[in-house]
Amino acid sequence: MKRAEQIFAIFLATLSAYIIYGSLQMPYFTEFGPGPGFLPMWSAIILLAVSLGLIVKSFKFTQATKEFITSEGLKRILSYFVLLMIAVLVLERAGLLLAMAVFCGIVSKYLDGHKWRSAAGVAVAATVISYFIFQWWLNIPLPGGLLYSTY
Amino acid sequence: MDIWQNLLMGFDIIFSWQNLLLITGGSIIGTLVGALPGLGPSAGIALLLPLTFGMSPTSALALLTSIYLGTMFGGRITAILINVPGDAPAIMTATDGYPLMLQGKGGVAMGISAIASFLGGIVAMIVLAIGAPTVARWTIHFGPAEYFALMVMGLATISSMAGKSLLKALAMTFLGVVVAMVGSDAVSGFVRFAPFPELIEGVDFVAIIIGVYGLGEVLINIETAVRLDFGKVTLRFKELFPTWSDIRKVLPATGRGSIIGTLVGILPGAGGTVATFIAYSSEKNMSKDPDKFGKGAIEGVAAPESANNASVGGALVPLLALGVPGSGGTAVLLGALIVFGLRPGPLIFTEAPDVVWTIIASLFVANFMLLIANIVLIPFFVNAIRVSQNYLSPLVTLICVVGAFSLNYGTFDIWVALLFGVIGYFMKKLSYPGGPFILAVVLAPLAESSLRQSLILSDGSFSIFFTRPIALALMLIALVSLVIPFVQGMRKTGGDSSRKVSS
Repeated sequence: MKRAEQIFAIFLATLSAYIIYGSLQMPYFTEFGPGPGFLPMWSAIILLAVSLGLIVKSFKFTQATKEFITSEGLKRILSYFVLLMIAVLVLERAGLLLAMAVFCGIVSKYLDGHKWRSAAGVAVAATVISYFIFQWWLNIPLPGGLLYSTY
Repeated sequence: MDIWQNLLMGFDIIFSWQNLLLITGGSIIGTLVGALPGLGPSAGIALLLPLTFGMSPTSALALLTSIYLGTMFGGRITAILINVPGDAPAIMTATDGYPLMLQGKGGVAMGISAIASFLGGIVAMIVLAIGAPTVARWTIHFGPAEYFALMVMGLATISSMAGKSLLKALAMTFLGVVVAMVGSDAVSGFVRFAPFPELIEGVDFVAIIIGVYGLGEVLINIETAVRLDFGKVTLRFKELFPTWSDIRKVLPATGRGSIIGTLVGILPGAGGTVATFIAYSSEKNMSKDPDKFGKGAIEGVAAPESANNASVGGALVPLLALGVPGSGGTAVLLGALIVFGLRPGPLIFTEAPDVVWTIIASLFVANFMLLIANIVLIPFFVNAIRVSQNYLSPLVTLICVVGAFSLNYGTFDIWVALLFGVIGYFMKKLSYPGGPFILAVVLAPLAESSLRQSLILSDGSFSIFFTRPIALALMLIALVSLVIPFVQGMRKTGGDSSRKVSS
């Protein structure tokens, strides 16, 4: 837990340093009052101070007792995330609903541990219902890809 | 009377079959979202928001407010049945609700809590219908300095009350401000921090909430793979309808809970969760027999349930009248109002009376439907939770992806949602509160405009915030609300615990 606390606080500190650097390139004060650099700079300075405080605090007070994530949990999260990224990468080509149907099926089967039949059922049902809600009722032009033509 | 006419106008709009259908659907979805652990009011509104883009603002907001109210009803179901609060405002309900369940009085607890929720909702809605236009009339002459001070106060109070660590809450507030600074600056048009052309208009607020509240929650769900075990639920259908003598016994507790919930809801920063804690502890203190609390006191179920529902109506007073939300859930609603091109604040009552009064009227209708649904449909809800939790992660992901896609009909916002999903995952796991972050994302652009307008008025002098009495008073409240937890923290020296309270 301690390591994770530190990593997140360091992420916040790095982000604020980038924002401070970026806002220094912008007009800080104009003749009409504060410029576009004013608020980002001050809020990033406070964010930097707060995240440094959190880093110090994590060294001093947080006990390294509880594990942030188990290796099993990490494996599950990474598989989910990689699958989702692949689905997003192909969804314009393959069709959003098709890509997501395959994604839903694989997640139900391998991560949620359902049998093939129910995983496939979920995938098909989710696709058909989504098609009717989003494409047909709400008129959202989802990329049809291999399944149907949007235009 | 004005209010009656306006309310009638609201009801007139609501009573079309589409809107009634939307409110019914929203109430049921809201109850389910509230009952499913992990998903709370903010997630419910966030996930369904993209669905509403094709609707008229009145229908969309009728749906979203009924989801919001529904989550308050829903959280208690799993709290009473299996001691797992569906969301943070239901934590106190489990304290006495679950012991009642173990004593075989789960049906009574469920029925009484539904009625307490309904009554709490009604009290707050009356306060909302009378209070919000009145506050709007008082504040119609607020200048940019007062607005800026008001928003600073809202952010300060939510930071001071969210979670246990003030530092973490402040980090989230300023992270929200920084994220909101991306894109073209509203005053000068200067483009800030936009490495991609898609970011020139800023990071889409809806993509952020889909990430933090939707995908972030799914990641936690995927990691832990915890399933609720309902075992064999022993609720008799007949018991769900409480007798008049049961109801009479909890009326005083419900009344007090409703008043506390409404007032706490109105306060910026404190939402339903805080309201339930105060309502429960005050009921325990007032009781002649405080020992029975925690062991199955029916008042201990009625008071917090009336309080969390009352907080919804209360929280809508500052949201509608001032445009300053007090919690994560109302911050998401504010985002929805802005998406529909409305600018909440005193003028909304004259500029878009139809929308405002539809929201208020739909709360009344949703409250009534939720009462019926939460008594009659309890067996349905239990089965729906049992089945849907097994397929929740892929289905919520699907809704998130379609929602993020539909913002600009491209994959960019899906990537944004993915990024904020990871951030939201860390926030949840490390107990960084989400409420201040979302509130800051929504308020920062408005606050920046007010700040800069004020300083233009004062020729660059910051004294404008300290010489105008209302602005000064608001700034002082902001300061005090930040100093109190700081001093408390110093006394405890480093008592950073991991109380998990999501808003």
